[in-house]
Amino acid sequence: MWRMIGVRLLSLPAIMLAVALLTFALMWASPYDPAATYVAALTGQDGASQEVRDAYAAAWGLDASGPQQFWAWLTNVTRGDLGISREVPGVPVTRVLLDRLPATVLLLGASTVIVLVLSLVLGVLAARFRGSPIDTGVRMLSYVGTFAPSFWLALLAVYFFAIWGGWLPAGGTGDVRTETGIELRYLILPATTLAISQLGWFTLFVRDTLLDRMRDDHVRFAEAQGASRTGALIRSALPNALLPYVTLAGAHLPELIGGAILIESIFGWPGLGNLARRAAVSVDVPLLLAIVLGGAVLTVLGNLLADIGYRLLDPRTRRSPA
Amino acid sequence: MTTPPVLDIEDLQVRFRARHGVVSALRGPDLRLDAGGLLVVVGESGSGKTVLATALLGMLPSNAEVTGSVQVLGNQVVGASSRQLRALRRDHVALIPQGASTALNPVRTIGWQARRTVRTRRLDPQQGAARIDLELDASGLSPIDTRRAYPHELSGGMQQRVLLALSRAADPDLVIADEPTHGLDADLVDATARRLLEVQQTGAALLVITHDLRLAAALGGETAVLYGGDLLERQATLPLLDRPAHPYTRGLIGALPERGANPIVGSPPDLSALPPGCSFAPRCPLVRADCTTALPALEPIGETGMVRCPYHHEADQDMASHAAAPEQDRHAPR
Repeated sequence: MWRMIGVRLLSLPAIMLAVALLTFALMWASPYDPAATYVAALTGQDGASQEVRDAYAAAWGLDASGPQQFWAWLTNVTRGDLGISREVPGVPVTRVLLDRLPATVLLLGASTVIVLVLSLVLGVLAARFRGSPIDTGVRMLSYVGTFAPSFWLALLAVYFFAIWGGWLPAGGTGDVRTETGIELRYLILPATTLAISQLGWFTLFVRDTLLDRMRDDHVRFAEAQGASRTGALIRSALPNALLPYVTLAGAHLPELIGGAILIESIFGWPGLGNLARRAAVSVDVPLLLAIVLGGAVLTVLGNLLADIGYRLLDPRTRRSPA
Repeated sequence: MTTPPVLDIEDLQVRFRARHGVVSALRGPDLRLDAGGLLVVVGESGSGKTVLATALLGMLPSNAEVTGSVQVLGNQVVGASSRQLRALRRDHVALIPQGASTALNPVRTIGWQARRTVRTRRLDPQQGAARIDLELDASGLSPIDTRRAYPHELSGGMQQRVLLALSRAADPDLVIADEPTHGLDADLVDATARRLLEVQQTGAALLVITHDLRLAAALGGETAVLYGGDLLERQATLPLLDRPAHPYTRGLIGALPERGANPIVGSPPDLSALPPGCSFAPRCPLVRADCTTALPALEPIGETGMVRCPYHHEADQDMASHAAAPEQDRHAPR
């Protein structure tokens, strides 16, 4: 197990380098000129003179070749300097990230809890009452939730709960004088919408895995001893079904992060996803690289945590106590 | 007789509705087992022997159509509610499932599973635990170490002994062992038979389902031979192994390595298209025209036995010539 953790952590820098290279290459190949975009944003007009743009490019090192720029960025990163953001003018990228991180962690954490709890409850119900209207209903909703685009669901939720019903705020964070800077009722719509986009997968996975495990000999053995179907399902089948579930949870973290970009933008959530979109639109290379790298690190760590969890939960892969 | 038999099966028919038609798994065997009795049910896969065990527990899948009667201690199993079935399984029946390695929950310790058995069977926690420890100890396992272990840390033989200990915790009236020697080495067969006979000696009725004739020989009691869902022969085990009456039983015994290892020609019947007559007719060396038109009746044989073959008397000389010239059978119609 320690060996696995070591290998994963050692491979992390290589993964990050590859991700950074790919992101940089994509931005380099994009038709948008960072200098033009920035100058246009500063002056409020599109047609800034060529001299102004050149001066700006020279000041920021944008006149160097692509590999030179990447190398300069890379050497700075190894010194802990992620560069200076232009989307949030003049502020170091590290600072921007740290300011935005809590909101995103809060959103992702709340969504993850919703996904894990609801998918277990719904999946267990569907498996227990297989073939009944409960099962059919859960499966239908899961398919709809999975295949409906999350931005569409978000807009629908805003329309219904905020505009038509007026029960929940349509976006923003509310009174920033609270401890986290966010009022919790502002969290409900974004977190739920983000959760729904993943909930279907997880619910169907729990249901199908449970039904598979219900056919296991040891579950049948429990029933042959007189255990009820519900009891056998929860005590015997569920612990076995949870093993692959943990891995799935780790593997789906990137999708949640990806979903957060759309959801944060729609709800005006002050997190990294919203920032990533703005950085991409304004060709803020240092900021975007940093966010993408952060996402890569989270993905690797999420998978690692899931694998550690799997090994701790499964006695067959855990070293037996002497 | 005032006390009902532990197990009384009459005309039990089980069909499965499947996508490609109806599969008949059992076609009305009659079997009876009294307290302290021992019945070995022998058959190949597809003979209906596992369906029989599952039907006794009322645990057939929902696409099974069951008719006839199965009574455990006078309680009807066919058509019983799930509540009644649970009570019956909990209070009177113990199953020793096939495949000891998969019958224990891989992510729970043996101790956890022992406590679950005690809880499920509604035994007194202390007495139930003590009983299981006693059984583990009697089978040569350390209760403390075994309780701490996960199933994968035990050998196949140890897992088997754990299952047996768990099954005895509640002093069941009926113990069903499904392929108890499945996957075990030959030297463990005798040990398993001895442990099973101990169960019988406590007064429980024992039903052993197996394809292993060596296990039947080690157990004794009575043996019933199933084929294609039909009961073909039932006799006391030792006479049956010594002087099998039905051509199929003869074939099974002839297929044993020490009896020349002559396998029965042909393959087991297609359960979704069973022939109208004797299910063994297409493979039978003694087949006559009327075998394929109507299912033969069971005829008494020996003191208590039954055989479902009107020509079994003629079997002796025919089987001898059959064994001498096995080449002919390759061209026999399937």
